[in-house]
Amino acid sequence: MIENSMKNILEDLSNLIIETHDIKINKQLAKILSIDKEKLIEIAKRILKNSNSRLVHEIAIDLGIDGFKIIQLYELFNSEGKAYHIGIESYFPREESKIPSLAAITYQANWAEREIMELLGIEFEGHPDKRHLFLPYEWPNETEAGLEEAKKIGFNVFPKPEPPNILPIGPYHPALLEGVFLRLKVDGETIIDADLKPGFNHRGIMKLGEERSYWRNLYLFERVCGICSADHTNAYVLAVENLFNIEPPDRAKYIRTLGIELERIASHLLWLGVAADLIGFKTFFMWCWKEREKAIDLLERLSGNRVTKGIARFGGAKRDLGKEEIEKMIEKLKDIEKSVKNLLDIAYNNSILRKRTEDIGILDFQNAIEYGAVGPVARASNWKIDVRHDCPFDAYSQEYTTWDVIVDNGKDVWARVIVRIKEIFVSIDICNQCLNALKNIKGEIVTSEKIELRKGEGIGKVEAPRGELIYYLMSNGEPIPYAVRIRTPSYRNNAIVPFILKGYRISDAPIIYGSVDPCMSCTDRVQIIDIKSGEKKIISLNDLIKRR
Amino acid sequence: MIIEIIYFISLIIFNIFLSFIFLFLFRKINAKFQGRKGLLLIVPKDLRKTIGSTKIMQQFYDILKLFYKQTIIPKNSHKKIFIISPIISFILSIIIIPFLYFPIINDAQQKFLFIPFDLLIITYAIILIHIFWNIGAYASASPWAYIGIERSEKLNFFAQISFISSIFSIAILSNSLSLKEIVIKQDIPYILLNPFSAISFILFILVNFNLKPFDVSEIEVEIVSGPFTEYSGKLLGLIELTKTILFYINSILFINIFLKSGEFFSSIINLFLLLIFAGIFVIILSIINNIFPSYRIDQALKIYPILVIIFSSLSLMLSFIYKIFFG
Repeated sequence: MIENSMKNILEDLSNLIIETHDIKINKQLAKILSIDKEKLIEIAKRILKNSNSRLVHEIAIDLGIDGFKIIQLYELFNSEGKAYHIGIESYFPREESKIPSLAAITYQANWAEREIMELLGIEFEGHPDKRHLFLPYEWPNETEAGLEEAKKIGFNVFPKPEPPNILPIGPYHPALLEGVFLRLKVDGETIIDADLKPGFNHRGIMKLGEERSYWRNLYLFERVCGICSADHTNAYVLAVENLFNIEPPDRAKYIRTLGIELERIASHLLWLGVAADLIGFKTFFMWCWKEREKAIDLLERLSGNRVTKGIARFGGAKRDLGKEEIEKMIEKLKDIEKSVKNLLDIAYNNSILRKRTEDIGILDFQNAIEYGAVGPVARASNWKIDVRHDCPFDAYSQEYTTWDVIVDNGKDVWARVIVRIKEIFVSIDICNQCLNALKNIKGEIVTSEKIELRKGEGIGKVEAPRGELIYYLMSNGEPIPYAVRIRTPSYRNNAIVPFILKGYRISDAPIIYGSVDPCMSCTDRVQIIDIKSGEKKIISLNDLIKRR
Repeated sequence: MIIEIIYFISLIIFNIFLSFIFLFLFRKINAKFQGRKGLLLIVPKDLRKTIGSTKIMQQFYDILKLFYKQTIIPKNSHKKIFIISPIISFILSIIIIPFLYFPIINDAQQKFLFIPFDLLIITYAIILIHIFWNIGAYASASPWAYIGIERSEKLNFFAQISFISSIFSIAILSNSLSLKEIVIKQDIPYILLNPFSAISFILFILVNFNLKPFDVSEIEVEIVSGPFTEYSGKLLGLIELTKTILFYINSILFINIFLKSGEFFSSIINLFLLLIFAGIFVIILSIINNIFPSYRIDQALKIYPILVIIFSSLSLMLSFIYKIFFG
């Protein structure tokens, strides 16, 4: 089925393609089509014309004197809901670093292209919003920052000095515990317009990843996000395994899956608590976090750590589980299931909680596809999209575990609450299946195959608690990756926030923004480069001490 | 004369001390309800060297800390009003204290309590405190404060109706506007005779102290801290102190009016009874605060007026019925 649709598209585009090659994504092969940069938009239009297609990410790589390479990765779904991938790549020299913008066709490329413009200096012609994504809007001056151009197009740029009907939320605000700047234009209590500005927490992790060996990166990417660290290492390890063609043993796959699912339980309970706090329900917040502690205890039993778990290793897992531990974990999971049922009862029966979350922050099915929602936000808009189901990895495919994707037709914040609570039960079910399987399966937890370095590309894709998480790796045969690109779920969901805020009240703003489970540490993981001089500077610790 | 002044000063200081203990109780119950430990009444032995043997006065230190901090006055604000309003509110809250009825009364306090309309003074002082806070906030020129004031005034309009009708239905019931007379005349506690009046009083307290589900005017996740967003340092300390005292005053006033001020037995036990009843009242408020999330402002403005109209009219009607049939 997949092959047929792929063939159709390839035939359709055959006269435009220069050459094709494959990249391994989880257990599939994605076709990458090399084309001329002038034809990027034409092909993008043809692919996005399919009703069930979406842009996964737009990646640009600096190839030194060879110029730049740009990859647009698309995902298409067949009638069974399984995904297959098509990528378009194009090379162009440094001198002609102007290419047509994909964001003019689809909003899904908006943030990705703004990031590329900022970091690599590639200019996207026809991009609707050329403002900085991570740097301050007006840096170094309005012309260079693209503010004047944005004004001409009529894009909403907030003037300075700010009129009193603009409410600044952040970077420091009691509702947002993370550094992000959300500006609301209000009429009385109603929000007319909103603007989200990330970029207060740069750590340069992608650049750091290009300067360390594959092994050292394992510890680095664990630190992208504290809440879903197992997902990040897992996605990175999958990318490396896909790049060098290694297959982990079954026992390791179950252990990794167990780590990811336990983390999902902990993350969703954490979110549930924060969401309750955002509507002023401090008691529920405390109760949720108390239950979350149990899930964290299980993770500690599994990996030995509470935050940076380090479960996945290249071709396997770090630590094995004994029979006694498995029994104890099954018992504790029952305990968690019972208490989550209690929380669900409270949430269902508390009339104020429902009143505060129903019919606000509505995201239609069509808009969810158009703006590029991922994870529970997309699933609450009745879009059945889940990496675990569409493009299975580790022990998620049918031969290992059986489970269902949770979707809800509500489209509002309440639907997102329900989807997440139900997903906790699914996760508990998967954990139980994994633990029972671990009782029976014997064998090594790390493969005996050795990593043979080679040139190529690999993509790792996992379903993190917040949605689809992607790691792209490019190797030139050396023990250090040539390029690392990370597309986190919050990166996509944060971009949707201004659309789902419009028309609602100021009181709803925190819970609507909270409903996408924003994680700024995921979104701000990029390095700032001096655009004016075009150089990047590495500042040593000693320099910093001197400056102070 | 000097003795009287010393008496009043010590009375006020003692009451402020008690108000901190009431807030400690409120925070402790909140913590217990949420599954936390909260402030420690008795600190474990190994920690005593570093944090002291009890945390019962933590609320006091929290406020004291603010008096050592820099007071920032916004550039666009109307400075005089911005500074004076919290000071007037604080003075008003201090003025109310001697009017409260305690089972052990000094002769000096008797003079205050023999003002035949002291209940009116208390009522208007409590309402004025809030008005002055909002005037000061309006002078601060902050968008968050504007939204906070708008919400606070909308809700307080109904809260004050609730408060006044509650007080007046009791005044009708006891045929007096003097707090002392109301306490003495209570053969049966008024909470049993007119429970609707008590509910109206609680409805007022929920809005006045921003307790859930009606804490919309100061809810921090939405509008930072509403009217008080721009206040800092000593002025914020003064506001927090006023809030603490006002919370205590309202709890004591509730017991004075509705539970005979605890005067059921001989006089020494009565003082303890008063404080125990007031403590129970604080616990009830704390539980209400913990079992609800907060309403959105439009939802609060739909539900709160209906509650106020129902309970305040019922309480007034009940008082009139008693008045007509039982004299």
